[in-house]
Parts: sequence; C-alpha cells; structure tokens
Amino acid sequence: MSAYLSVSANSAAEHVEYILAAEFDVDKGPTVKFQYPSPIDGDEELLAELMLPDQAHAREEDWTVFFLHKQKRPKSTGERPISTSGGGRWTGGEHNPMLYVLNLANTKASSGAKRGAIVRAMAICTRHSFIQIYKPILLLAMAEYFHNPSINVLRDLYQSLNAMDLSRMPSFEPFEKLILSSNAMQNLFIERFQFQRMQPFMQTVHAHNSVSSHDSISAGSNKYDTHFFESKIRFNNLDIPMRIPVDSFPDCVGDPSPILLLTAILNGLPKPYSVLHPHLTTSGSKTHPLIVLMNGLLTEKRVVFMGPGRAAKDVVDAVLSACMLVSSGILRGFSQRAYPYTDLSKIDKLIHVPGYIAGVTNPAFESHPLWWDILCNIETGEVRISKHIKQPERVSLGAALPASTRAAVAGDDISADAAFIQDINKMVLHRYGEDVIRARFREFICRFIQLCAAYDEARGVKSDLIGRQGLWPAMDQGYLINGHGYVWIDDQQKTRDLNLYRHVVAGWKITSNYDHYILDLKQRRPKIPITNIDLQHQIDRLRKLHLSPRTSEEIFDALRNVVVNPDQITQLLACLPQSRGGLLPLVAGLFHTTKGVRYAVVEILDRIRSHVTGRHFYDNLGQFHKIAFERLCRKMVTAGSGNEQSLLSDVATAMT
Amino acid sequence: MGNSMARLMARLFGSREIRLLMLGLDAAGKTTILFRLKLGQGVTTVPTVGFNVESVTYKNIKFNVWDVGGQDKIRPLWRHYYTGTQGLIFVVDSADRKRIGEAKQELHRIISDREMRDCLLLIFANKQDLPDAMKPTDITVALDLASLKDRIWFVQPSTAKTGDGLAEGLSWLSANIPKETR
Repeated sequence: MSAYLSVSANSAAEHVEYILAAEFDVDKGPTVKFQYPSPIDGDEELLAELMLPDQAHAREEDWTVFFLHKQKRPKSTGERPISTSGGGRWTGGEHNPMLYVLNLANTKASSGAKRGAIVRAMAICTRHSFIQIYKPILLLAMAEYFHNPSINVLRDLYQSLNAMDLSRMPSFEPFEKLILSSNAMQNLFIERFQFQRMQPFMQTVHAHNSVSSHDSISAGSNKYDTHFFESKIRFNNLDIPMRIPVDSFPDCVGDPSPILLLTAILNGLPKPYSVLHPHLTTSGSKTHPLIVLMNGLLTEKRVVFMGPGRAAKDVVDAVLSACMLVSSGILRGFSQRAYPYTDLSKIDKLIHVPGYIAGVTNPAFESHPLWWDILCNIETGEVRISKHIKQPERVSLGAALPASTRAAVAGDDISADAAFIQDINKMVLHRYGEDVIRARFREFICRFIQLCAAYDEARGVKSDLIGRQGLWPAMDQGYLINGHGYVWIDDQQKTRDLNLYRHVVAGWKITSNYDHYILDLKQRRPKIPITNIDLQHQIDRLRKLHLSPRTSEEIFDALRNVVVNPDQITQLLACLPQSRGGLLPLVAGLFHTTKGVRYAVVEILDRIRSHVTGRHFYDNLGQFHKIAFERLCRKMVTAGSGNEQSLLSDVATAMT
Repeated sequence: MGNSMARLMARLFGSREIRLLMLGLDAAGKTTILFRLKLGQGVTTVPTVGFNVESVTYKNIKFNVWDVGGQDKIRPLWRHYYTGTQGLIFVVDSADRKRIGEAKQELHRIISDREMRDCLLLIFANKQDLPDAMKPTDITVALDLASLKDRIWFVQPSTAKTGDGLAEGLSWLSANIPKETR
C-alpha cells in the first residue's frame, strides 16, 4: 500500500499519461478527436463511447470515470481496455497496472452547430487514484477547449499537470496510514511535511508536557490538515492549488461520497427476497439489502449500480463508494474489476468479467437479469438478486456448530448485522461525518475477516488465514496473555454469528480479494512490531467486556511490557481510532482499583504522550483524564510520600 | 364510437402498459416525436447520445417509449433494447431519398431478430411538411413492407414538428396491441 503512494511521491515520472478529447459527431456518433501525447492503443471507439455518456445531450455537464488496464507505456502490451482477465492478480504493488480516467462531458447549445448543439468531452488519464484533484483544472481546460478546439489545449494541460511537484509528498507505513485515515486530528505526522514555515511549530513541541500550555499551542494557529499534501499547478497563467490526500488507499479512487448510495438503500421499500443465495441472504428472505450488497461485493458477485435518468456521475459515485467501503483499506482488488461508468456497447465483454462492479444509467439493464447477479437501483434503493444467479455447488460445510439452532431461531436479540444497519441508519439520518461512516464500514470488514478466522479455528480447518503466516503468526510460541481474534460478548453469540456466516465465509475464500488479503498478511507479517500478543484483541476486551479487576490488570501489565518503542506505540495507536473513543479504553485504567495498575497505565500513557504521533492522541483526551493522569504522575514522582497538599495545588493551577 | 369502446375496454381491463421502442436513422425525428407526445409541444432537440426514455399516457394506455440514437456506429446497440418490446416505431425522414435504402436495410435487420418476432410495426413517414417528402405509399414500397410475413404493420404519415399524425399512430398501436398484454 505504501509502495503505491511512494511511486507517486518519488517518481519524476508523469502524473498524467494521456489527455483525450472526444466529440459526439452528429453523423458518425461518438468520436475521439485528439489524443496527447500519443494515441492510447486499443479500441478508440470504445474510448469515445465511455467519454460521451448516455444522455450527455440532456445535461450541460456530466462526469464519468473509467479504468483502463494498461501497463506503463514503454512496455505496453497492447492489452485491450476491458480485459476479461478481470481481477488481474496484483503482485505486490510495485507498479500500478491501472490507468484511471477522469472525464468531463459538456453539451453546449449553439445555433451555429449542425443540429443545434455540440457535445464534447475531455479526459485525463493517470495512475494516481486521487483523480478528484484534477476536477477544477479539467473544467478550466474544457472551457478553453470550447473556445479553441485544438490539440494545443491538451498539450498545455498535459504539461501543466506533469509539472506538479510531489517530490516532497510524504509516504506512510501501513500502521501509520491506518492511523491517519481513521483520525481526523490535525497536525498528525506534521513532522513528515517539510513546510517552509516550520520553525514556529517546532518550538511548541516540548510545551505539550503540561496541560496548561495546551491553549497557547492552538493559539499559535500552526494547524495543518496533514491528511493532504498541498501543491499547485500553473495553467493559463493561473495558479491552481492542489490538495492531494496522503491517506488514501488503492481502492479508494476519486474520493467518492457514499451518502447518496446509502440513503437510497436505507430508504428503499423493504421487500422480502424471493431469490435466495447462501452467500448473500444470510438472514433469509428478510436480509437487509445493504447486507446483501456487502456480501455480494465480498464474495465477488457481478454487481450493477443502475441510475435510470440520473447523471453518469451519480452511478460513478455509487461504484467508487462501493469499492471504497468494501475495501476499507483492508481488502483490495475491487477497483480492478470496477467499471464506474459503462454502457451497452461493452456489455458483451463486461458480463464475462467475474465479479465486475459496474455503473450504468441505462434502465435496459433491468430487463436483462442474465447480465448481472445483483442489481442495485440507486434511484429506488432496491438491491435485487438475479433469478439467474449461479447457486454455489452443494459443498458440505458439515453440520452447523452445536448449541446454535436455538439461538438462531430465537432471532430476538439483535445480531451484529442488524446492529451494523442500525448504526449506519443513525449515522446517515443524523448526517454524521463520512469519516465516521467509513470507520463503521471498516469495523464491519474487520469483523468479517475475524469471523472467518474464528470459523476456521472452530471447525479445525487449516487455512492461510489462521496459519503461521496468518492473522496470529506467533500464537504457537504462546502469547504473553491469552486470547486472540474477535471479541464476542459470549460464546452463544459467537456460535450464532459463525453459523449465520458460514456460507459467506465459504464464498469469500474462493475470491481473488481473499487471495490478495492472504498475500498482504504474509508480506506485512515481518514488519509487525508486536507479535507476542494480539494487541487489537486485548484492546477490544477492554472496550467491550466487563472485566474483573484482576483480568484488566493482566492486560495493562502486558501492555506496559510490550508497548515500549515508537513502532510499538504506533501499532497500539492504530488499534485506537478516534471513532471508537481514541485512548478511552486505556485511560479508564487510570481509575483502576489497584495502585500498580494505575501506575502501569500512567507509564503507557506517558510513552504515548511523548510519542511523535501519540501526543496528538493525548491532546485529544478530555480535561478530566488529563488531570487524573497529571496527578498520578506527580504521585509517582514523589513516590507516594503523601505530599497531598502540594499535589492539590498543582492540580488547581493546571485547571485554570 | 370506436373511441368510446376503447375507453370502455380500458375501464374494464384497467390501464395497460405497453413497451415501445422507437428506432430509425439519425436525424429522422425520433426525439422530436417523443417530446411532442410527452409534452404536447415542439421542442428543439439535439442529437441523442445513447437514448431517451419517457412514458406517455394516451387513451388510458401507458406507453413506455424508448428512443435510441441512430448514428450508424451505435446501431449495433439497438438489439439490447429488444427484450420485452411490444411495438416498434420506426421513424423515416420522408424527404431523405438518399438514405431510404439504408433505412430499409436497418428495419429488416431489426424485425428479423427473434426477440422482435411478435411486435407490432408502426412506421412514421415523418417530415411530411417538407416539399419533396415521399408519400406513405412510396415509403411502403421503398421499405419493401409487402415482403413482411406474419407481421402487423402500418405506415402513418406524420409531421413531428406540428404533431400531425402522431396521435393516429398511437391509436393504431392501442387498437392492435393484443388484449392480454398488460
């Protein structure tokens, strides 16, 4: 993942490989007019059709996104744009085989034009997944091109874009990126950004040690949104600022907004499913459509997002959102099978791409259930399962795990899926930030993976997921403290969840995103700082369970022993995203009944506070916890000498 | 009389829905016809990129009309719209004598498709307002409609700009559509 970004960060190579211009010719239909600097090999007609979306004539402006599977130019293999090899296996990520195309189509009524209007499109082809940054400049270039439809506009645009300086853009290790993407605080990793006016900020770093100095820091207004790297480009004598997200992951293309898609699905009229599929309808005919969609994406069904009467950009957004949500930065390979906007002309090839994810505006797709497995109508929110969907072969999964039937039938208490839907519903209804929604999806995906691992374990299956190179690599050597994987409230719920999901687990294991994940696990394993304890598991225990003082003491002790150096602290912070309360599970230990434990927590917290990233987490704590921490700190220093009086006055000054 | 009968039928059988596909060479006037039917007035149209789809209610029958762009490059896509089509409206520019042969070829290609085997065929001999427009009888000959077997067809002269002849076309469709279809 980091390699992915570092390509862009270090390479003097081009940011943009091609600029294209197309036009709807009133006699010939869609036509590519210009390609700069050289033609993309492949089907030119297909390009023109993708650039001029259905019903472009009915709107002044529309955007489409499409992906081309192309090697970099020098070693071009002449592969066709839509490759039926589909999820071409990603082999480590040195080099991105995908070319992302951001395209703007404009229609202008013109009395001078034959048949009254001109429909033109211009597209930028790049290897960067953050294509959204090019939108403003593409609008400017398009305006220019309407004035002067010549290849010179394309050339100028090409040169401007490639002159953008990203050489100082920082890159991040996986844990760091996870921290950055799941925490909205400013100034995270500020030290990686070589700002020119760095001086004032550095001076304030040491002041973090006391509560009272906190306000003076924020007053200094040296706050940067370090989720973006700022650069600029010059086009037509205009300086255009560019904000490049540094925490995006490969399957997050074009910063899509999932709200519209989620709103549509959540508001759709619930209709019981008449077609059932073990990978999809985990709760039978009453499975929630969003769960059907997620299961479909995970098990790589052919999914179409259809927006009848909608602009192409709406279906593009739905497809990109779906890829982003199901990937969550953890799974990958979805965008490689995605066709964010496509039309009927590619259908013969498309339907043979296994697990494709496509966006269409043409309602004709509805009447061809042979073409897709799942059809999501972004207008009505209906998520339909095709009656022609291929049912999995009856593989014997063995009997359900025991003690489950009763719980499964009961169905009264809320399942994890229902809780997920409830959360998302609430978030969408009350307009929570999209980062919160994304975090909730990430939790869902994490849980799914842990559930698969737990299933393998419970059944005694040997799998890559739980093997020596899997999720719990060093478990054989014995963990410092017992426990691993997902934390269930009780065993009954665990058995029920496993039984509910056993078919989806089976379906997931035969997908390419599963293979990718296993590959990633293997590659990341040597770089994980703490392996003698399942850190996430222990944090989740603190978070979810009512632990006895004795048990939590064990956990805090273990944490104190293993979380010592900066890398280890980084890993710990990655388990404590803002959306789940940040440091709260830890700071609760400041009020533990045993003094030793309180001191252990102080030690951990002290390390976090002096950690280059951890200090921002500490800053985010409430005053109450900070004061408790400060007090305990002093207590430790005075080694319990009972100097209560001075301690109290210290606290008093800290509070003012 | 026929009119009130139709109304009675409609009342008895509830409102019906008919899926129509409108095809023809580029610039024949398909989109103008669609919006004339939909809005009851002439609109200035621009070339269709892809398709338009609108539903038009006429005599208590809901016509879902698909209007698909006609440039030769995109004609191969027409076949994807065939499924479920009950009536084909083929629009001809009656004044475009040069391309009437091309139109004939396309028409015969469409209706030879298996999925179109049962559909009605309505031909709008459009642009009758132009001075040298061919008459319906000429069009019938030029399109070689006599060679069609087992096909219910009708040529309706029309002027989309003013709306002349369009209602008659729909009337013919509603009268000939099999009763059991809904």
